[in-house]
Amino acid sequence: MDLILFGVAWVILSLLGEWGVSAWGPHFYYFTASTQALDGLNASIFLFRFLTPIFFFVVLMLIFVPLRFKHREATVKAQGRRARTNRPFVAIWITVSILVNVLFFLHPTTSAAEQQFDSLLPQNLHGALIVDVTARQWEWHFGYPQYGVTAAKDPNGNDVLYLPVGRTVEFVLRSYDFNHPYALGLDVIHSFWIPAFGEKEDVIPGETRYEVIDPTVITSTEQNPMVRVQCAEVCGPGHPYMYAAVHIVSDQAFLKWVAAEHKAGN
Amino acid sequence: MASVITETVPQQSRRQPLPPVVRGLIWATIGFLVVNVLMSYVLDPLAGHPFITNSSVVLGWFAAVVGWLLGVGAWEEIVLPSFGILDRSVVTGTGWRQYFAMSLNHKVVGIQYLVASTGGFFIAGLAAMLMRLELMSPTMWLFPYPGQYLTTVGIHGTIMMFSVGTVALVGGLGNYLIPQMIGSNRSAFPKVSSISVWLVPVGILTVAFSPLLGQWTTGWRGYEPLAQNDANGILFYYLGVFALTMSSFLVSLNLTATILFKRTKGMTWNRIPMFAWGMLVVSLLNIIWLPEIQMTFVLGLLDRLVPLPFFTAVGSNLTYLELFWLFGHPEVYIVVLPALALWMEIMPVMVRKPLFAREWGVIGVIFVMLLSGFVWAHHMFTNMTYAEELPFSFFTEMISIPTGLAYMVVIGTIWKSNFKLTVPSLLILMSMFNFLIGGMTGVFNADPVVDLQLHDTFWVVGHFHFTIIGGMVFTWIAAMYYWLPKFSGRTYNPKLGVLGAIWIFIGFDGAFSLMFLVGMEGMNRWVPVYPSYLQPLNIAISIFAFILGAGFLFNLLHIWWAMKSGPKVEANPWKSKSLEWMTESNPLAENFPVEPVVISGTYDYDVDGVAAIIPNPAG
Amino acid sequence: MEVVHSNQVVRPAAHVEQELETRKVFGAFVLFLFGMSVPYFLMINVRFIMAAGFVPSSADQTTGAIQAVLTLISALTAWAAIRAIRGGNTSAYRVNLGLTLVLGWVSTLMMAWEWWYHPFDAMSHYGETFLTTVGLVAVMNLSGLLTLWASRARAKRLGSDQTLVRGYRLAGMYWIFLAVAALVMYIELYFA
Repeated sequence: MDLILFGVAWVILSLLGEWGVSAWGPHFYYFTASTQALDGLNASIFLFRFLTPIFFFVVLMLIFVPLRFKHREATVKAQGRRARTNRPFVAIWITVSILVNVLFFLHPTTSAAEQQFDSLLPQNLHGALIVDVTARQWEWHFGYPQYGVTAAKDPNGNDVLYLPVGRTVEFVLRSYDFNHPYALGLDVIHSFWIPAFGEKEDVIPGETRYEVIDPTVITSTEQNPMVRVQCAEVCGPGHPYMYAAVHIVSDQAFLKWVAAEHKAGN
Repeated sequence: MASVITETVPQQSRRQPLPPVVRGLIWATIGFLVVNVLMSYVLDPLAGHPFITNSSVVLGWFAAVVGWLLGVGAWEEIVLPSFGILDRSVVTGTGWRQYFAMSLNHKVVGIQYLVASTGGFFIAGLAAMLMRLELMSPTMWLFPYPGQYLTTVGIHGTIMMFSVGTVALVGGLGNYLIPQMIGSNRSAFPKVSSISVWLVPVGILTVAFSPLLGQWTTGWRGYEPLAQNDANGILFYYLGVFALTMSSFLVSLNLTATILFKRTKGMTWNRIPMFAWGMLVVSLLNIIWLPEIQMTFVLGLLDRLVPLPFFTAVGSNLTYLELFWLFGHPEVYIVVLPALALWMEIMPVMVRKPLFAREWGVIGVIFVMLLSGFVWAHHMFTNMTYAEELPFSFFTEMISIPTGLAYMVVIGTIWKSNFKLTVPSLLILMSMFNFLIGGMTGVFNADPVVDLQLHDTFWVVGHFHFTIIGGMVFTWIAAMYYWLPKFSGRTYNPKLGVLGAIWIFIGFDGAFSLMFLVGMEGMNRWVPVYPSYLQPLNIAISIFAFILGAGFLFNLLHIWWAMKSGPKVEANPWKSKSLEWMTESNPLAENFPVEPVVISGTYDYDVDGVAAIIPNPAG
Repeated sequence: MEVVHSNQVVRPAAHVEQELETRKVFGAFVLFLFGMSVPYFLMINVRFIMAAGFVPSSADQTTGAIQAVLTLISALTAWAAIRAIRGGNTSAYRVNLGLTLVLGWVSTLMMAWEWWYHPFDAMSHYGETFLTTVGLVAVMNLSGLLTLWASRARAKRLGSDQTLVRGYRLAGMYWIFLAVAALVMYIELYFA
């Protein structure tokens, strides 16, 4: 009887929860502007789908039990072996938790890893826009070696990142102080993060690292502040100020911007 | 084995000329001054300029700690006896005085640990309140400089982790309860715990006063190479953590030996209380990983002092990250395993039903311990190659299986039980709810493709506070209410207790669940300044955080009041079968005048009768 | 429950109690050594991460070898001291421990020499691991020497009561552990 009551309540709650995942899940990332962010979002929704019934099972237990079994008479108290274990319950619990975890490891973990490996294969980077990203305390510095732009700046002299929509971008991430190149040990770990792109990679002194992104939406920092470069790894007192504006524009607008940068001598 | 009662009574006792704490302070001051002068005037080639240098303050600090420990009582109780001089032992005070001296009574040591930990909790909590105050505005307004904010973050995290998370349940409740739970009159090595507790205030104050040497902006992880790049406050971070971890290491040795070798007759492996299992696995983790992080921090310290290039940009800064998290993730389980064990310890008493599937609960904590050493690099998904992510992701996902077993055991125990909703059981239900959220959000962090977005955002801040406050602090408070009659012979006011529980639940869940949202919306960590579109959520978080802070203070005052003047209760108000409730409430120096003999499991609430008897020596 | 208040304390036979006490002390000692070995393992790891198996040609093999031999002999004398005290021979224990102390001090002071006179760049990856590893060994040795000194003084003042022998043996065993660790580190630093 208790079991049926509990079961019904659990099914109802889980269905409500799944409805909530459908309604709210797509907004989990707030704003996505790259295929990588969409991959992460879809993986999250998949996880939410499976976690919802588990979550409500435990939560319902924590609420149902104190209400239902409050101060029951001692006469109904369970006795002997039945009170101490319940083989089927234990077996189901362990089997389910192993299966769910193996499932999560296969998808989304391993399936996403395969995509990540693929994204770095040379044939998939053919025609990609290469952006040199240099982090120092405390500045993001962008260069476009394919276009001869060494230091992308806006008219006010602030670092700015322009990306053409729909073209694969390969960020080449390095951390050193380009104003003091003789001081090799000067810089620290930063983390290159554009929230709307759904991915961040640390920028580590002494290493060159890569991040591949496919921007999908024409947007900019002015339109949505989630489209900004933000340092995500603490890098000293200037850490909160280490951001830069991002513009994702059409191909033509990008070429126009490159020409303007050339004209400005950047 | 009957204990040897007269073993430690000194042949010739005398009074100390000064109270131990005062003497400790004087010796510490002398130690610091002598070594500091030696370093900065005699050995330093730039003699006397300035008075305090990096190396003089570090060595002076070590001298001060040695002086403090010797002055507090280690000189008479440990150093002289080990050289064969036995007649200098000093009388430990009685009454309140014994709490301000080295004490061989494990209950006094437990209380000392609990008080020190609580002190650390509120110092670090104050730091958290300052942080939340600053974050109510997207610009700098409370702190003049970002470095000060970041130093506050570091102090908050370091004190919380090393003096509360790893200490309150192990040094505090472990020392107080474990010998009683296994039917012993003392811990295995009373002197070890009696001296290790005095390292806790040293560590807390060292970290809290680190701004004396300058700002440090790395947070509690001391990330390299930023630590080399910061001002000198980081020195006191290394030193304070060294003192605190040393304290936990010694306690762990003592507790492990106590559980392994001091069990009374009949306390077989099948009957060891779950809390003792928790302490055992945690202590083993401590014994492995605390020396590891100490050595790592010594290398970090030498990087600054000498300076060596170990973890700098020309060395290998990722090595530091690996070494830190190699300790850092087991640390999380060091914090939370005692809490899981306490759920399983307290719940059967509350619901009058035997512990469900006990063996699986034990398997759970053991496998969490074993797997905890294989997951560290999930903190580093953003700085490793894609190929390296998979094994760590795998183990991180798998560790939820043994962790989940604790839930299975408790749920099985409370199902169809005679449930008593008391303040401890309410707080444990809350703790299970909160830790569940912590665990479920951890599934997202375990998945690299999602973690690359979540990492280093407020999502992660919400996640680990749900595991640590939700898992450990709620359980700690539950345990304080549960064992209140043991500590004092008095109990709490149920209405105020429920109020306190609901109060912190609302404050906690409000503040930290909103952190998930603000993190997803693009708020990164360690920033006193942020884009203004994030302000509304931050104000809401701050308000809930202040409610939470006041709630903790309320619970502290309530417990304090209950201990001093709460209603008096009988010795075993919960009708527990566990051995610690067989002792007098507010136990005597000797827990068990006669050694008890355990005759059945301590969770067998399905049968009447006691779990242990006190044999009649005459018969 | 039945609580019997009595002034009488049940005491099992003294030898049983001693047996249990011995198990406790040695069990805890093993745990302690387990923890104490972690920093050495960490330094081995760090060395191979930083410098792989590189050993500079300028490494001072003679000093290292002398030191290793002294350490080895000191472990043997410590072992002899343990054997002596198990046989109840306090004076032989003190003599052997005295020898261990002298050898231990000489080898530890030689580490100061290695520190001072290091024929390679301290800023190199090998150099930094060398200096810190030697430093670790030296600091741990100092703790061992202090233990030996205390144990020797205790043996002199208190003699060899059965309950004390355990402590005397532990001091020797701790030194043997340190000596073995130092030898491993010697091989790692000079040959690996």
